[in-house]
Amino acid sequence: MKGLDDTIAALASAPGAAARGIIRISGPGTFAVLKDWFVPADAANWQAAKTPQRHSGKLLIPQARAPFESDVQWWPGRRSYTGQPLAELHMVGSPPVLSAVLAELYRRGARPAEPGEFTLRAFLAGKLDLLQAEAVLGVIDATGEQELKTALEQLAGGISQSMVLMRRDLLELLADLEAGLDFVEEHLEFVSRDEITRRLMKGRDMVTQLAQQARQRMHAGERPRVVLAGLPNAGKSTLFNHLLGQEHALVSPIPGTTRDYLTGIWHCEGLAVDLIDTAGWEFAGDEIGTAMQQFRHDQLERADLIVWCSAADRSATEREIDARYRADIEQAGRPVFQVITKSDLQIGIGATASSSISVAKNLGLTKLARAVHACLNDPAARDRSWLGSSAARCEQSLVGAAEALSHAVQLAEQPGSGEELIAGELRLALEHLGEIVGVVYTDDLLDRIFSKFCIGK
Amino acid sequence: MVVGSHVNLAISKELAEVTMNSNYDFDIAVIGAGHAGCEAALAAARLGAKTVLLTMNADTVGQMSCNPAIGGVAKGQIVREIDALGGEMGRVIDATAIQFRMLNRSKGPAMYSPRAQADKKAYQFDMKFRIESQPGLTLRQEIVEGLRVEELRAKGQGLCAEPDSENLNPQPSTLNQITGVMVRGGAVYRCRAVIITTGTFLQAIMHTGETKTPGGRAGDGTTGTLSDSLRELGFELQRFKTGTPCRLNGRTIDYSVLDEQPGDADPIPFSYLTEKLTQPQLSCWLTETNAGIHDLIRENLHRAPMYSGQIQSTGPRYCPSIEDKVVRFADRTAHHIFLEPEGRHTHEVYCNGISTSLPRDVQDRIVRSVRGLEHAEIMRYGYAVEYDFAPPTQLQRTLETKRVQGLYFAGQINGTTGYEEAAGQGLLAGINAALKLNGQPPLILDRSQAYLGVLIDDLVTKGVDEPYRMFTSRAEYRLLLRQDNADRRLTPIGQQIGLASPERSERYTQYDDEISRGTAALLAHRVDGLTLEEWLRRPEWSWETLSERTPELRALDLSPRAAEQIEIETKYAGYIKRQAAEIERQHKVATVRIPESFNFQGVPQLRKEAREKLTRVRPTDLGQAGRISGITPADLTVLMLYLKQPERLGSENRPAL
Repeated sequence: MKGLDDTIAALASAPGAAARGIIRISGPGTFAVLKDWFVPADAANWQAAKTPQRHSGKLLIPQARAPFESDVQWWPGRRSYTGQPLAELHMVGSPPVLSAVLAELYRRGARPAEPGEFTLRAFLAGKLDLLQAEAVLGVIDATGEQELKTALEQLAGGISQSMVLMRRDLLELLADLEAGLDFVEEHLEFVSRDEITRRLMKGRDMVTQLAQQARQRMHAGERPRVVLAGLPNAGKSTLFNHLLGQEHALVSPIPGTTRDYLTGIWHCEGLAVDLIDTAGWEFAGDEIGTAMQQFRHDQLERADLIVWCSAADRSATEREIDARYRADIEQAGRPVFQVITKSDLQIGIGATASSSISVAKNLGLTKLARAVHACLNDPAARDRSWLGSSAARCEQSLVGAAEALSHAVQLAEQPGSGEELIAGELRLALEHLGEIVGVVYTDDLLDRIFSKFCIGK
Repeated sequence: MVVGSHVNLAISKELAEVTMNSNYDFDIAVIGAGHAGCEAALAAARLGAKTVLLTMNADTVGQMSCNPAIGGVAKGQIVREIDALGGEMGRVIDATAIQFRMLNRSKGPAMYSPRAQADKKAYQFDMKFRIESQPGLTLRQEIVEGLRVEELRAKGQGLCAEPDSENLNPQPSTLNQITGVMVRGGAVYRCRAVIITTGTFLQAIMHTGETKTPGGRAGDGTTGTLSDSLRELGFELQRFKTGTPCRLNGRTIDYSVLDEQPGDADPIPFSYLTEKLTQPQLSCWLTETNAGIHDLIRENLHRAPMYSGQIQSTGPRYCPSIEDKVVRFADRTAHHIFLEPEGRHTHEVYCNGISTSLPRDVQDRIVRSVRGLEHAEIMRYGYAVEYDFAPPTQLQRTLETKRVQGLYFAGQINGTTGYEEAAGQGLLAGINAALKLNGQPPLILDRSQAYLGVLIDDLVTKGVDEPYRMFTSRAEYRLLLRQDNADRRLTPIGQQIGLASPERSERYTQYDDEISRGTAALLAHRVDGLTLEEWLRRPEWSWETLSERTPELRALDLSPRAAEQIEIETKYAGYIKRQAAEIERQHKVATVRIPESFNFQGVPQLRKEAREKLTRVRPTDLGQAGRISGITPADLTVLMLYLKQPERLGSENRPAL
């Protein structure tokens, strides 16, 4: 990572041609890299600006024939997003123009910003909490509408909020416990053992659930994983190629052609998913096949949804085998969606299938996409409220918190164990939760005790 | 340079001669002989410093100004720590207490907390006698009016920024060295270190209803000019208030209708040197307020100085006045009142729980409405006292001030409350002042080592926004900081710095050896395939029951205290291990050091609030920085970045590293 005192610049709008383009500049030298070639309409106002303001004007680039019209949104002080002087150049969104402007900025002393560097500065300046910072990166990297929605929710404090609520609840419980320990002379029962156990269990269950969600999210990477599976020559690769719109897998009519697993991003009704093609469900167990089966098994384990492809032209025996394997997968607890492929060759299987398609005849494909989308959005199947990057960071803290709360519940259920031990585990759990949202607990603990209890021998 | 508004610059020739006398030449002067001052003076003298203890009134050495009790939850642990290091409080209370109770016995051993009712006068005389008997320590009655300092050098930029300065470049300021104290009459004590332990006596005003009297305690005066002197040196002073309840004549109390609260049948001493407690014990008594009293208080709130606006400073939330309790907890219809005898040779009884600043006539009516007190006579009325304290973020972790070398603050002047908290600070200030003069490294206790470590770290790092009292919940390593192992934690340190007496050292060594032998035996012997240690971990077994079955343990013939220690350590081992792992984890980040010369104002990425707070506290490592309230993880990330990657520093900090 490079210096925080450097002045950085980068394109802030989406790459490619658009009506408007935005270039963002941040750092102590922001004014310096602009002042000699930005000609503001109101020069006095631009020179003297002390507060955030928008300045219209023109940019003069030596090698360009005419000046570019540009508005500069200018934050001269610390009240900007990054906590540093910051400028945004709003101009026409033509890629050659934007490139020329960036080149000129770099020539005058700014350096290209690294990915996420503006956000890092905002976080370091205390403008964002950790979860929000990660959410910004999520917005930037979002590859689908669903993901963007999650990122925006996290930015607005979605996860932070539920974490804060839970933390507050556990902190209240700790205050009750601590009051009982520190104010023994008051002859008050601050909280009963049953009450302690009940509240601890509630916390444990919530944290455990969040930990599971985070873990699933991590396993899923940034996007939900949809795995195409089925017997050899079921048309998986044909479907795969069609959905991704390019020739990823070698498609051939010989069973067992797909010897490696292939992956690509499928934009399924606005949702970016990782689409994975697997080797056919081999009948024989040759050596390479076994290794591959293991590989495919792992993929199935990690799938958010398995699209089971059954070719319409199977014999009765093959159909039986097909049904048996599918049932096996379903029993292993993975969500399975069955699709009848090659329905143009249909011999009469379609009636029982969930969906039938024909890539050759371009039949049923939109319906399939809608069905997959619906499966992935089923809230029971999968929680989408975690951003992948936050999940990765938080998982360990959540697991630690869940473990501490489980210990606490065990202690609370043993009649002889002291409340100081329960409090110890609860503190550990709060420490872990505090790491997630980035707060400490000791400061507000005593406040809570005194606001609730009349204490004062 | 002499500081002090009442200093007579034209010192007479006669006085000049007097002050040439070696009676006025000391290594260390301690101002104030309360609980902090006594421990400070004794520790300094015991570490070889020629020490003088200056008090306004030699009849009030070690006086218990408020309640007649020592110890309690968290405070009892502190007394044990003071004793383990070689302090005096534990021995004095053991010798003079009239009742002992071990609180929290129904909880685990980390929560056990010794508490004792003191015979106030006996305590005071016993402490005074110990002070008088200490070689190298002079007790003298003087009123201190100012401090003498000498300018050492101009401080470099960045060492001492004005905390609220808008300016990014801190103002250079001077660094002074203490050289002595001026007392009333113009005499000067020359010394190399001064420890100020003036308690509530700086600019003190007492309030009883509408009546205001100057003074830090009923019957005593105040020290006004010392405050001026501290201000002239640039110290910030703020005001706190605290209160006391009325005291009754016990002869006029009807004990037959009260609930008795006797002492423990098997009292346990505070000091590790006390073999056994043999004195007869007195009981305390319990009664309570009622709805009628609460109504009476509500009707008269406008006459309570705090509610009338006469007092505006902050008081403690955990020791609220009865008027506070009635207002804040309006739904309660009764509050406890503990009646505590003040000694064996007095009928005076302290009414714990109804501290008040209401006027006398209201106090009379309150008392007469309490069950058992219908005919009680008030001997002393309750009052509130307002006093100056110096926000403790102006101190280093040795309790030496950042502004003046050789000047230390300890006790209530630092915004704390409680005899135990004061004594602990006094002890550490005395130790550190003496160590510094001897050219030895300072004694700074970690938060994982002692409640005293928690206390001082909290004070210098977080400051105080109400009078600071210790609670076990302040200690994140509570399971380790037990009253039963204070000697195991701290006596080796006392031995190392030379504060442990030969008697203490010998006893401790013997005890430690017993524990080693016992622990080894537990691991060496097996029954039914399990080690004795594994058996002892089970809740149904104790050292005693295990010894009955195993001759190997019986043969060790351990003292009950050593056996108990082994048992606690064994049974708590799992939890302690978990906590130790946590300490280890936090230490990794926490020990990243921040150089003394680091200029927080020169880190533009820090928020303004963070820069100001860090500049004021000047934390010595990242752990301490993180404990400053209002410092966020983002602030720490910035600091970490600046400390770990100096090449990425802003220009202002680059030369400093």
